[in-house]
Amino acid sequence: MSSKDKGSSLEKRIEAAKAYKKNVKLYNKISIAVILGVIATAAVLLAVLPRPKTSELEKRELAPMPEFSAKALFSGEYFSGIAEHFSDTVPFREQLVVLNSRMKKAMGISSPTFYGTVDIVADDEGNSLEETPVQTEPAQTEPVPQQTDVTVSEKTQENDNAATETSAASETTESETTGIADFSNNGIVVDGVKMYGEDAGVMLFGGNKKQGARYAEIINKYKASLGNVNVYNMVVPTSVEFYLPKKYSKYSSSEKESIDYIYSCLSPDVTPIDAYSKLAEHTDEYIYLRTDHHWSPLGAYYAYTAFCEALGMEYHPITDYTEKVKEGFVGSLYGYTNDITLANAPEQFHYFLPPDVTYSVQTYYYDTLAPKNGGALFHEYVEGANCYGMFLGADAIHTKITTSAKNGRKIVVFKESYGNAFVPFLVNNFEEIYVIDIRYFGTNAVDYIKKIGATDVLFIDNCFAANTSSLIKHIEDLYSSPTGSVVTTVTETETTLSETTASGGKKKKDKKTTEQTIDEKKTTAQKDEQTAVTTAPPKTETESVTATGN
Amino acid sequence: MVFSNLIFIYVFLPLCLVFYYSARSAKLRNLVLALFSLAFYAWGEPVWVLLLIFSAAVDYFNGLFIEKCRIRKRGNPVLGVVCSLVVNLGILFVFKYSAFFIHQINLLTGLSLREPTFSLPIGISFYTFQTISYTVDVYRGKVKAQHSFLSFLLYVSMFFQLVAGPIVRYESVAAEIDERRTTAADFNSGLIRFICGLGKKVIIANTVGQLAANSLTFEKAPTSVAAAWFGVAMFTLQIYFDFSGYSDMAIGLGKMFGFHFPENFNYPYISHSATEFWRRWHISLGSFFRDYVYIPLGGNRKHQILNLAIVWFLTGLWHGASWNFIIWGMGFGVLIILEKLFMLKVLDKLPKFFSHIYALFFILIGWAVFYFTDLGQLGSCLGAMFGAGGIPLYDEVTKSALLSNLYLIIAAAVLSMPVSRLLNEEVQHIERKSGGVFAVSSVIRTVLCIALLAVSSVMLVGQTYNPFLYFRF
Repeated sequence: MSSKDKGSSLEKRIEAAKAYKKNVKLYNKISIAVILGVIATAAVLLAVLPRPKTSELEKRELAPMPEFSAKALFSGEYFSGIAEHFSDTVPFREQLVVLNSRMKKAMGISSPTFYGTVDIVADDEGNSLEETPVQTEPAQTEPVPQQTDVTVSEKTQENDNAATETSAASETTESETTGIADFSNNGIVVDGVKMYGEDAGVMLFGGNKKQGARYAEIINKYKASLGNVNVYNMVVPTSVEFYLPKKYSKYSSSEKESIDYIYSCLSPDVTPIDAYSKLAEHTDEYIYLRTDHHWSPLGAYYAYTAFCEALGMEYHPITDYTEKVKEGFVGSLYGYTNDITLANAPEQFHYFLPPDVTYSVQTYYYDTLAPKNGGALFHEYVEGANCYGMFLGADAIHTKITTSAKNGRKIVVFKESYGNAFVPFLVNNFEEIYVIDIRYFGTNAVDYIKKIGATDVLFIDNCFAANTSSLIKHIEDLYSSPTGSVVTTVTETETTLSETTASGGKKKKDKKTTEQTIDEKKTTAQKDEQTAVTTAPPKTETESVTATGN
Repeated sequence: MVFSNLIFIYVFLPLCLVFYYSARSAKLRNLVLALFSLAFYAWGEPVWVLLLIFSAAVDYFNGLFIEKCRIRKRGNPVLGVVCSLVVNLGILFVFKYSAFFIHQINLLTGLSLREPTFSLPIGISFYTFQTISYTVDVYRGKVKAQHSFLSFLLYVSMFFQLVAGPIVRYESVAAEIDERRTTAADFNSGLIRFICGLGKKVIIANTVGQLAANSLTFEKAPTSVAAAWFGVAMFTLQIYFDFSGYSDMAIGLGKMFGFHFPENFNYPYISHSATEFWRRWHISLGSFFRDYVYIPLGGNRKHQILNLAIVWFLTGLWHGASWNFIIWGMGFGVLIILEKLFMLKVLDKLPKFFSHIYALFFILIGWAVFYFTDLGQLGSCLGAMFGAGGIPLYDEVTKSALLSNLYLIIAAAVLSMPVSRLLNEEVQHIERKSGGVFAVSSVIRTVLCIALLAVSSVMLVGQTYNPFLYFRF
């Protein structure tokens, strides 16, 4: 190799090094400009775009801008509040949350198997263990607010002591803050759950024998006080009973066992309704919602047939009903878990309009029993996540249905939300149907039943509710609360029902309730009526609905 | 405030950069940085920011005092060091250890002295050590005393390393405090470093942390042997990615403002012994104890074993006022002493594979001890790890958690080894030769960086997901 070649190769290398240096310089500048540009753009967008106030999906109010006070400033709450507000109310939050789930899935970060804290409550074959009073305590990361039993009973005691002041406000607050914590809930499973060949979620059942016995006992008490009135009890199994993958069976108690136990505690005068067997026969049909913790209207229909058979009543085959469908329903289990599997498996929501019957629906406020406009069996305008809320309207409304079935039978239905899908089927069998949500009703239920001259009373509850202390407490309170104790100002009520509840020190909002009460203003005439609270609801503007018969 | 927060990334940092770089003089820039740092600290500790300023003031004067003693050859400069130690360790003791200490006295003597209920001011363990190191270094003549209080306050309060380190010694930034240059190369690599740290924290640490929390609940013992090991392994990954991610963000931010901090982590999980682990884990803490405790005590020249025992007791205690941290530190102390005495020689002869397993085993056990501040829970977790009580070998929940997050777990394990560094070096080697390759890899690098930032940001939004659904039956 000549020295000239050496020299030129050295030159070349120097050239290359120079070029590289130049490139690096250029790259550094471009890279800084691009990345800072992205950050600046995002910063500006975050500053100027409108921020959401509530989250539809999570059913809560997002963290508001904190109020300034010297105390909040010195404790550091003011600044941390600002930071929380900033990240909680990011523009396009709902879309970003969904994007986050999709992204995580793509990156192989999977959702947990169980949502919530899960305990083993059954042996390997799924038989419930002896000691089953499961108290679920949300783990550190568990987002659901927790309320201990002690607080609940304290609160209730307060209510009892100040019976005349009992308002729907405190009632609502209690039932809502109690929340998931004292449900016999044992977490949620999505992993591997299939219903009707598609992805689904189920809530694991913790079970609580002691509460089950207490539930039966209070129903026995009602029967004892009501004399000749027929009293029925239906405890409805939930989807976990039929669709839980076998490998997880030891994490859920047997609902069959629980229901049998409750029925065995009922007095012989109370008629238990065996919805379980009917549902068990139809598990390949769409009897439960896949993405929601409720059953489907079809499941309610099968339970209704069991009810009719027990009462010796006739019923139409399901084909006589007008079947209608809502598309794109994704229910509460998705809201709770934010598991993208469920968002990717929206379901059809089928419901059934009753044949050969006309009926009218009148709704009343629970606290004042003042009438309220807009009652209907099916609020067919609901869409998306609110489909199950179609029946009767909000839970917080007390409903009377008058039907063309002139047979003199009047039934009072005590229910939680499982009852909502069930009640519409009764219009063919009863002349008058009174629907009472046990969580909101505030007057003495026994007096109420006697006053309206009911012939039949049905307690319909899902298996979780029948094992849940706070819900049983509501039924007990209705039994012992004084007649007409729920006098409160109308205006206040309106806000309590929509604005709801303090939990964990934060105001949260239940969107479902809000939507249905938000644009209702009461007239002064109705306001006056609250002074004379009677248990028999006055009859005013009734909206008539005629169902189309086939 | 913390770095992994939307308001930091998209409000605080941009504002700080704008003000900093629109200030022209070095002094003004220091002022901007100090004000932003105090605001950063006050964000979480509106009251204790005064304590920080107090600690800084004390050592500022200690430094001046020592210098004066030297110049006038009057007075004893040691007093400055004593003052620094008394004040800083006093602050640390009162706020961090007094409750624990009085609790122990009450337990021992049956007295019922009132246990103070201070909330621990953020970063107190870091900034007190920094100010001590300054005074000691002035005394030792390693650095000159800082005459500007603003500059010194900036050293103590710099928001990059204020909350979680690294423990930056004054000598390593002394020159840069007063005069520093930020180059585009530094700024760019700092920005990238920050974003990588953010990704480590938000994408990996938070996710594996969730898995750890699911397996290691404080309410009950792990349900199976696998659950216990899985939980501890996930915590092992979590604490590394969390802490080293935070150090990356600190070092990156420092670079963006012209500071060059020493590295704090050097792939600790590839170690082959406990000794090596502590040379790679939280380096700034280990070297602090080495230079300010171990060597002054006599190092390896006299009663080395005692010196080691003291250092490791203090290292444990530094991590928190609780017995489990002391046990954790002392445990490593024992291992390191044994290694010094004979085990290192044995380990050297073993195949690398075995010494690696040995180190990892004790690192994992160590993190289990670190995780549970309640010794009862620690006992049941360690028991579960070794199958005490005949618990099953594995359970469905753990199996499903492992399998359904397998990609992430593998990625995390790989990233805790120096793979990305080797890859980077390799790429740079090729880049030097070809302008084309350089262009392509530059584009890829920038795009990846933005993707990482975007993913982290969206995940930060996702982490606020907090459904309020109580299942109204």
